[in-house]
Amino acid sequence: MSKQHLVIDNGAYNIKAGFNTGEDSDVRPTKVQNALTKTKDGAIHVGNQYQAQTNNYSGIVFRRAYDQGNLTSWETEKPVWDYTFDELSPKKIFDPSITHLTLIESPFQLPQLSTNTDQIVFEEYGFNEYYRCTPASLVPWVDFGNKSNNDFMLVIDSGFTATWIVPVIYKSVHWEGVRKLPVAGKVLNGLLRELISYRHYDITDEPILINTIKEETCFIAQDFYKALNSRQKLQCEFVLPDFKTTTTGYVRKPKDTISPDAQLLRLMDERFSVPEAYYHPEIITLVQNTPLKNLTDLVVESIMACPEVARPLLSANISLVGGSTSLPNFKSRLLSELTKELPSDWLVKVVEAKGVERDEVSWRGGINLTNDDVISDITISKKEYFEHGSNWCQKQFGFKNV
Amino acid sequence: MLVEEVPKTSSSNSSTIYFTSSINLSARSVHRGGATGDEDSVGSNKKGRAKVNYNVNLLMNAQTQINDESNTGPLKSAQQVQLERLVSRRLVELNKESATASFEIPKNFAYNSIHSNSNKSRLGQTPTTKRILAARRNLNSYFEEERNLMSINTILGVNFQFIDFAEVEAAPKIKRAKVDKIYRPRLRLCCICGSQSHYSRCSNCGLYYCSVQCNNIHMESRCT
Repeated sequence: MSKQHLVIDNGAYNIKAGFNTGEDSDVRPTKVQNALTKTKDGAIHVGNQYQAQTNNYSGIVFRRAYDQGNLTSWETEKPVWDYTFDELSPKKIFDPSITHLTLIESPFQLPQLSTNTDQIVFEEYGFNEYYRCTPASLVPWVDFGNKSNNDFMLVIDSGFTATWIVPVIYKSVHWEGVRKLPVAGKVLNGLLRELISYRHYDITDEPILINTIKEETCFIAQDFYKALNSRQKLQCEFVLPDFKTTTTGYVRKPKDTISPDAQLLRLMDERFSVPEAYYHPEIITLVQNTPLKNLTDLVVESIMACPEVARPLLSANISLVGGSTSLPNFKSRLLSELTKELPSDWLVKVVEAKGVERDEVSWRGGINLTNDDVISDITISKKEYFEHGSNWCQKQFGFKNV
Repeated sequence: MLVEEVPKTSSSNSSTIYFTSSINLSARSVHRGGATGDEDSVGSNKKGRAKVNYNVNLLMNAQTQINDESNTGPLKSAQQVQLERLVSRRLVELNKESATASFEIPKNFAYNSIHSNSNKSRLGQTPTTKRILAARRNLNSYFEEERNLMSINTILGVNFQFIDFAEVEAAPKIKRAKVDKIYRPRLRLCCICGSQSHYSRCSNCGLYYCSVQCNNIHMESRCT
């Protein structure tokens, strides 16, 4: 049988996985919730299984393999991977021994945990060939059109656990410039949960509902103080699920008629105060004078940590990756904040790939990488692994200390 | 002379540097160069021997915090260490997905592939993977086991960063163009209604409030 290329973006929220199918470039990855879930009735589901029944959504508990951005729990991850492989090839048995795996993991993993991953990949699954890297390093492989310079890219990757700012120069990560902001999807969910539970209804045990409310209603304010003053105008009503007419809840449109006993959330400043944590991280702490650096500070710092000639090039080639960057206005606010901070003769621009969702950019890059000849030079084969061992493997793929 | 005192005027930040020495070359100053401007004095003296600056504060810190893994950056005051602990605790709290603690995987739980016929799925093909799959350890135990302190420092150091207090305080004195951080006003939001707070904060718990009404509600319900 012929060799096949599999690319897995092992995100903390969901796994994006898919085979390289050759020419057709609009194939999308399979997305699997990267968690085991326990529903109210005590049953345990793997990956997307819980979605089969919508009344599972209430009172669900997630168990994720990730702990603060590190893949610690392989006893959780393994069933999810098995499930993913079943989803990928439902007709025939998935055979790792003829498969080349490109695995995407978050930057600055504890070396020991990365080694564990390598061992599982080779010894448990027996993949034939393997390449592991960070999401940012694959972004330059995506086609951004002819107006961008893929040799110099500043990747802002805001996912579920953290926001990473990674300068990628000549397709390799410039580790000195990597910065991390601890604000991302999960923290925003936590803030929203606290605010709504205090002001409206107790929703502390409804992670799916919180996530839906965030995705449906939250946005980044272009001018925060202005938005705060006109919050009455910006209010919206969110219809909570009653599990008869709606299972997820939705935003009420002006003309919608709703049943008289439906429960409504009237959201005003919650909509933009929560995502404001990107620019004012001090609001996440209870004592609100912690001088945490915000997104703009870190982006500027990251650019300044790079060689001087590369700096203006980086600011002109910013790319946004990850699910949380899909928040409305993320791009325009970032641009306006950055133009204030950076020298006025630098171009500040965000490049976008056509037809690629923000959370699939790295996966798409991985697919493009496997089409390139260079993949054979950077890959480690099973034979080499058993010859040199897992520490050598980590040396090839791991981060460099700075 | 093996140990000599640094003249007070030699560098702008010399208030914390007291002695230099040409012996014990293995001792290195703990903090990264540049920040306090002692790079020039690390060079060699007339005899061609390297000269090491002993910054007493830094040495003290290095001694007291040698076992503290969270000590990653240059010099940290006790306040800052406490602040960091507060922030990381708060982040863990916010990162919880639901109020109830996560569940343990039951011992007999196994995912059966749709292709496999047997009900039994073996856990772990080799001894190493068996160990990994049965580990059930948390992140901290992995951190404790990690030998390479460099990597730990890199990982933890990148976690979150504070705006340097000293930088902010020194800002008005230096010309504005030279400062790379401009003081950014903190966002103060009322803990009750979410509007901007121009008031002082609760003397008890330090949360902000925007009006007397909100303060009353706060005192009744939220103040701990």
